Order: sequence, then C-alpha cells, then structure tokens
Amino acid sequence: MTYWETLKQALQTLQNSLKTTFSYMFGISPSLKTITEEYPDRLSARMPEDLPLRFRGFLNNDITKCSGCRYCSDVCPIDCIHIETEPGPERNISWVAVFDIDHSRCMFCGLCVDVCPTKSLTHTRNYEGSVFDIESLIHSYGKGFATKEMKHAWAQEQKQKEAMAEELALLQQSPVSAELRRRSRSEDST
Amino acid sequence: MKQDSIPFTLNFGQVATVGPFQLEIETDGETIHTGRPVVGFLHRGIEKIAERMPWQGFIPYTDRVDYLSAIHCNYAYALAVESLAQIVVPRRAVAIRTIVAELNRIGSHLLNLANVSKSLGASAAQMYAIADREKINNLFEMLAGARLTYSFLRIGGVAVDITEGFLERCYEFLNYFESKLEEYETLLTNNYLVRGRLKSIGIVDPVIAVNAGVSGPILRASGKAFDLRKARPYGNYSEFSFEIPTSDSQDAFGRLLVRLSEMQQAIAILKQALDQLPSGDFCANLPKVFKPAKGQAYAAVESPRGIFGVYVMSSGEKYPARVKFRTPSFAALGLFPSVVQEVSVADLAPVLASLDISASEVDR
Amino acid sequence: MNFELSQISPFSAFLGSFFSPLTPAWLLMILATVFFWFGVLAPATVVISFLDRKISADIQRRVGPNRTGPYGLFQWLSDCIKFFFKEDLKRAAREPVLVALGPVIALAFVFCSIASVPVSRDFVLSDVEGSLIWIFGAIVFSNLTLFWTSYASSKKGTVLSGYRLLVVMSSYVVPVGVALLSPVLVSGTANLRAIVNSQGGFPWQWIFFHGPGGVFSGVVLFWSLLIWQGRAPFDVASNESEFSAGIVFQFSGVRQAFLIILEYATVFLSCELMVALFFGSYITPFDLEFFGRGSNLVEFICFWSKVFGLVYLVTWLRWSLPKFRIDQLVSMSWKFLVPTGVVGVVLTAAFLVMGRSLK
Repeated sequence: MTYWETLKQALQTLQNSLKTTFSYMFGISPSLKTITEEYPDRLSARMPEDLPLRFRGFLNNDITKCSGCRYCSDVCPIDCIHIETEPGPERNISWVAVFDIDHSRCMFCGLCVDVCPTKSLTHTRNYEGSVFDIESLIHSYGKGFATKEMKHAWAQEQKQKEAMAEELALLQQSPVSAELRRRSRSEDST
Repeated sequence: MKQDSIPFTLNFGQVATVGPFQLEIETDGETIHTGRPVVGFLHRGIEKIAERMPWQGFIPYTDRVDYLSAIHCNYAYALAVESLAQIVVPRRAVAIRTIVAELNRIGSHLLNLANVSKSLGASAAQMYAIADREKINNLFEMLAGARLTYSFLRIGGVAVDITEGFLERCYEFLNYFESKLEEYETLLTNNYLVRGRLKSIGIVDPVIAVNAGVSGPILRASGKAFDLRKARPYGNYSEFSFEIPTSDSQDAFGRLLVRLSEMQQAIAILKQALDQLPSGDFCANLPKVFKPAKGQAYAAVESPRGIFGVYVMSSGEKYPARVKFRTPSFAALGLFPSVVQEVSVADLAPVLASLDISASEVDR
Repeated sequence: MNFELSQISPFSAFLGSFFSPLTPAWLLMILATVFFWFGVLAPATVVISFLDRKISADIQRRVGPNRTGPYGLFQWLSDCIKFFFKEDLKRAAREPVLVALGPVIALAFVFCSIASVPVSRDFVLSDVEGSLIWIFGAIVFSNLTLFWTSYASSKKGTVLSGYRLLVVMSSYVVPVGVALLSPVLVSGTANLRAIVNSQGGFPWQWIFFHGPGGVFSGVVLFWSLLIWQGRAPFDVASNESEFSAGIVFQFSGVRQAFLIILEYATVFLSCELMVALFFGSYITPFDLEFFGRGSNLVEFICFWSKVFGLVYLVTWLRWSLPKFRIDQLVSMSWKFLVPTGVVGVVLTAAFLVMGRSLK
C-alpha cells in the first residue's frame, strides 16, 4: 500500500471506530443500552418469576402424586436421588418414606423430570440456593417411616381433601345443586 | 535451542488461553523460536464414564465435552447411536436440531470473536460480542431451560417441542443480529489496526493442515473448501442453500473473516429453517430400557471448530461398550508448534485465540 | 535564602499576600505545595480514574461503579483504602533498592512537572525560566526510572517490557521535540506561563489555529504524548494481556498504587501540556477585572473545562482502538509523526515570517 493509502485508511479506521463507540456511549436506541442486570436489585435483574417457564432450576417433588416407581433415580446420571419405599395403606400403592434429592450433586439435566410418569417431579425456577452447610442442600420430600395406622389415617385425610376440593369446584359452579347433592349424600349415609 | 533463547512456561490464564493448558515456548525476547503445548489438565474421563451410563443418560455428559458448542456434541452422539440402532428421527425433530445447531454455531463464533478482540486489546468489540451472545443464551433458556449445557437432544429427536413465542423471538434476534454484523465489520474487518496485527501471523499451510487432521474454519481459511454439511450432509442440511466461505490468506485474519462469514451463512440457514419448519413429532419412541443390538457406528458433524465425530460400540447391554470422541481442537492444538514459529511475542495471544481451541475438547 | 519568592513560586507569593509579610518563605512554600496537591493533583487523579471507569462502562454497555456513593463517585476512596491493606510483595530482585525507588522517583518527576504547568494566572507552583524544557527532560527521566525498575527486577517478562519502554521512549523523543517547537516559535519563549499568556481567549487566538502548522503540530504532540506516556491503546510496556505482564503488576499494595497514580498523573500532564501549549489554557475571552482576586477561580474553571474535554477524548480513544504492536508503533513514529511534525514547524515558521501574529 502506498503511503497516502495507509494514512487514509488509518484515519478512516479512527473515525469509524470512534463513531461506533460514540453511539454506545450515549445509548440512544434500545439495542445500544446497558445490558447489565444488577442482581439482586429487583428492578433491573430477573428474579425467578421472570425466568422462562422451562428453566431448569431446583427440583420439587409433589409427594401426594409420587408413585415411588424409581424411574427418576434409575435414570439419574449422578445418582443424586435416594428413594426408600414401604408397602402403603392400600394394595399396589407404595408409601414413599424417603425421597432425598442431593442438590449439591445434581447437574440439572432434567432427565428425571422427563421420565416421571405421574409428573410429580418438576423443575421450579428457583436458582437461589446458597446455604452455609452443604447438608442443607439435600432436600427431603419423603413422608417418613410410619406405622400402618398412620398410613391409613393419611390415606383417609387425602380422600377427604380430594372430596373437599371436588365439592369446592362444584360449589363454584352451582350452589343449589351442591346443596342438593350434599343432602342426598347425608341421606345415604344414615 | 538457539543461542540466546529463554525457555518460558506459560501457565493457565496468562495469554488469553481458553481453558487450562500450559505452553512451553522458547523465545529470545521478541520472537518465539519453538513452542509446545502441555495438555491433560481438564481430563475428566468422560469416555470411561460412558461405559457405566445408560445410553440416554449419557447425553448431559456429551454437553460437557465441548461446552461452547454443546448442541453439536449432543448431535454427533445422537446420530451415532441412531445409526447403530436404526432409529428414524421424525422430520420436525431434524428441523429443530438444525435450528439449535446453527444458533449454537453463532454463539460459539461470537465467543471466539470476543477472545480474538480481547487478545488484541479491542475491548469494545469484545464486550459487544459477549452482549450479543447473551441474547442467544436467552433464546436457549426459553427453549431448553439452560444457558450453556443444554442436554437438549435425545436419541431419536429432541427433548421438548418448541415453546410458544420461541419462533418470534428467534426472528427478532436474527433481525437484530444482522445489523450487528455490520458493526463487527467496522470494528474488526475494515479496521486498519486489526488488519495490521492479524495479517501474516499464524500461517497454516493447507498441506500441513490436511496432514494434521485440522478442519473447520482453520482449514477453510487455508483455502480448502471442505465443510461436512456439504460434503457428507447430515440432518436436513441438503434442503437449504448456503455457501461455504473460504479465504486464501492462511493467516489469523483469514480465520476471522471466515468466522464472520459463517455467522452470516448461519443466519441464512436459520431463516430458511424457521420458515420451513414441518409439523409432527419431536422425538421417536424408544423402549423404556434401551438396548441397541451389538455393533459399532461412527457419526460426525460440523461443529464450529471443525469435524466433531463420535464412535460408539454396543455389546447389547444397557450401557455402551465404548464411546470415543474425535475432537477438532485436539488436531488444532497439534498445529501449535508449526504455527507459532518466528512469531513475535506480542502476537502469541492473537494466534492462539484465532485457532479457537477449547481445552475441554482437547482433554475430554 | 536570598531570592525573590514571587520569581520562583508565584503561587507562594499569591498565598503570602493573604498572610502577614513576616511569614517565612519556606512555610509559604509548604502551604502552597499542600494546597496545590489537594487542589489540583488529587482531584485530577480522582476525576480521571472516575472518568476512565465510567466511560469504559458506557462504551461496553456495562454500568461501572455505582455502589460507592451516588454514581460511584467515591470509588477512588475505597480503592485507596484497599491499596493500604494489601500485602507488600517483596520479590527477590537483583537490585532491590532500584526496584523500590523506581516508582517513587518517577512519580516525583511527574509531580514536579505538573507543578510547573500554570493552572491560572497565579497558580503556578514553580515557574522556572525554561519550564517547557524542564518538563520535557522530567518526562524522559521518569520513563528512565521506570526502566530501572523493570531492568532490576527478577521476572523475565518484566525485563522484556522494560526494554520495550526504552524503545518507545527513544523513538518518540523526536516527534515530541519537533512538535514542541511550534509553540516556542510562535510565542518566542520556552516558559510555559509566557506561552499561555501570549495566546488569547478566542479560538482564533489559540496556537492550535495559528495556521495549518498549529494543527499539525498539535495533533502530532497529542498523539506522541499519549504514546510516550504509555497510555492504552499504546501500552506496549505495561501490557496486561500479554505475558510480559508489565511493570505495574510486579508490585502490590501502595507501590502498585504509585504506578497507577503515575498513569493518571501522566495523562493529566499530557492534557495540561496540550491545553497550555495549543489551546490557550486559562485565558478567558472576556475581561476579568470585575472579579479582582477571584479571577483566579474563573480561570481555573476555564482551564479545567478544556482539560476535561481532552481527558474525555483520551479515554474515549483508549476504549475504542485495539492495541499496537511495538514495531507498528516505531514505524508510525518515524514514518508519519516525524514528517508531519516537521511540516508543522515549517508551516508555523512560514506563517510567522508572513507577519501573522496571535492577538
């Protein structure tokens, strides 16, 4: 390159670089603004509620739906799910006594959630899990070891809860028919 | 050793190295006479772990072989197992795989752009590249739930179907990114200073490249137009029209140009793929306990760094008998002694950054 | 001591006019130095470091410091406190005395140079007869002492960066020297205060616009001073992203703080020199009789606004351009800056011969 071409190119480079960074300095259009999120400032940073629904955060197991099938602990590549079951209050239903997920080993791959047949194991969007004690990262969802009577009592309570939920749903539809149904049920039982 | 050479051992983090590997170089103060990489610091035994993992459960580990282009690693493994077990992937799944693979390619090239800019001291371009890559991470967060190690592919398809709103966000991103590419042209390609620093350093002769097994942008910047997506098409790449950018300059600047053009081509492929997305299943049905028949298979994809290949061998069990990864950065790092001869010390960082070496791929 | 105080330190004389005539000269000198230090130097360093971080954050789409005080205005305070608490690394150096002394002497030279630059009509801490030449020599010596520091250290990378410093210094002496000739020619003296006083308040009365020669010399001086002082994007010597790691990082604690302050002080010195030589430092376009003694303050503000503009430009340049390699720097000096400087001097001389004067 000749001397003058070099000079011209250098000056053009200077001008163009300065122009580009100038437009970022004053951030006029939205695609040029600051993108830093100042966590934990709730105004500028995204909190767990702002994350997409599919975000693979900490795991949560709804133990009322869990069937104790152990598909999740079988598929886990790191063996971080520990399950212990007992025979349940009724036939063919397992009592999930121990269901521990060790979140300090979990890699949040989502294979266990994919494979759960009852969809009781789900990802929450929570990612804030700092603790002082690493054992606190073992989250227990199990119901604990129980005697036969306690299991039956629990089963009854579940049935009652379901009935109440059903009735509430119906009540929200039509108060009159709900009342009539309730009266007919009490007549049946007496 | 030359007369007044001083041996140096550069440890991790010293010269804009991407990952932990040491470099032993001999220099007389301004020019480097010889160089040798020392690897193995990131060896995690992933190939051995595969021998005790169920087939489907190994997918998160393939992410971590090269976390910068995780989808491509998943892709090669899935292709290998599917060809072993003769599984047919539904058309929609193949299309989704292409979309995420090209998005990942843009993300990986942006990160490399940031590394090259950092080694040159162009901090503005570095930060803009990282900021744009964040948008891609957000897209993946929306789709797969994770930002870096997606574990998004499954044997037989993908993990989940495309979310509502993903397609619109994707189109938005493509429009935004096309205007940003022009900015990178101003800041890097047409920049007299960047050209002055990157030209004629890190020369890779095409014959040496082919003999060393190097592929990807390094090979294409040495003049050979070889891209696995055109040479041995996989997925549905044969349905799209795109070009393979090459450069005859064989130097670090040529590699920069090739990567910028590849991002442009990736945008073109993405637009076509998003427009032509077919409907259907997103994954083939696999038996609960997956035991492919005895045999072996090999599949390779064009990852942002080159040819990424996976070899699997099955002995009819729940677990693979052997999984072997053929990684492009391993070959690229082997070029280091020849590429770094008679290079000035100030140019060591840009040369290394332009080779786009991912230490996790080298060591597995 | 038998000398006229107002001759060697106009600022001390100015301060002395507020106190009784019996105060001893040395007390006034100390008072003046302290005043100058906290009134000019410290704010300068603080402001430049703040601008550096905020402007780089704006360009890079980040936020920069914003927790320590509103808009991060007190970040410098927490940095100071941090440096005091850091461990003082004592590396086994070949010449420990040189390594320890180096930063201190370099900083001393730079401070003395800043003390010679007039900030307003009475705020000159030391007014030497040929102050421009003294400052030129002081900058050379401060670079040399930095070279001692790196040469005497035990890290290979630091020794290499010291050699680079020498190379840059020797190639950029010539453009700076040549560019300094223009203001000297126009004003006929090498005394900075006199050069400033020979300019006027309006832009056409500045040396920068005294014909095309002023522009050429001004640009050459600006560019060469930036490189000479080792400011990014020209910081080949104290390069952070290369393995030589530079001079600044073999120290820690307050010694490292010296070198960081040195960088900001040299930026301030370069901008001050540019403003004094080419932009009519503190001379205001309007008459200042109305203010009386307060005219110093008005001129101070005028000076600061011009320096502030140049500092902004310097910082903006730093974060927009990639770094040079040492051979590119040297070739730029000899091939572009020296010829342009010479042309500038010739044009200035031609304009003077044609009888054009400044005011």
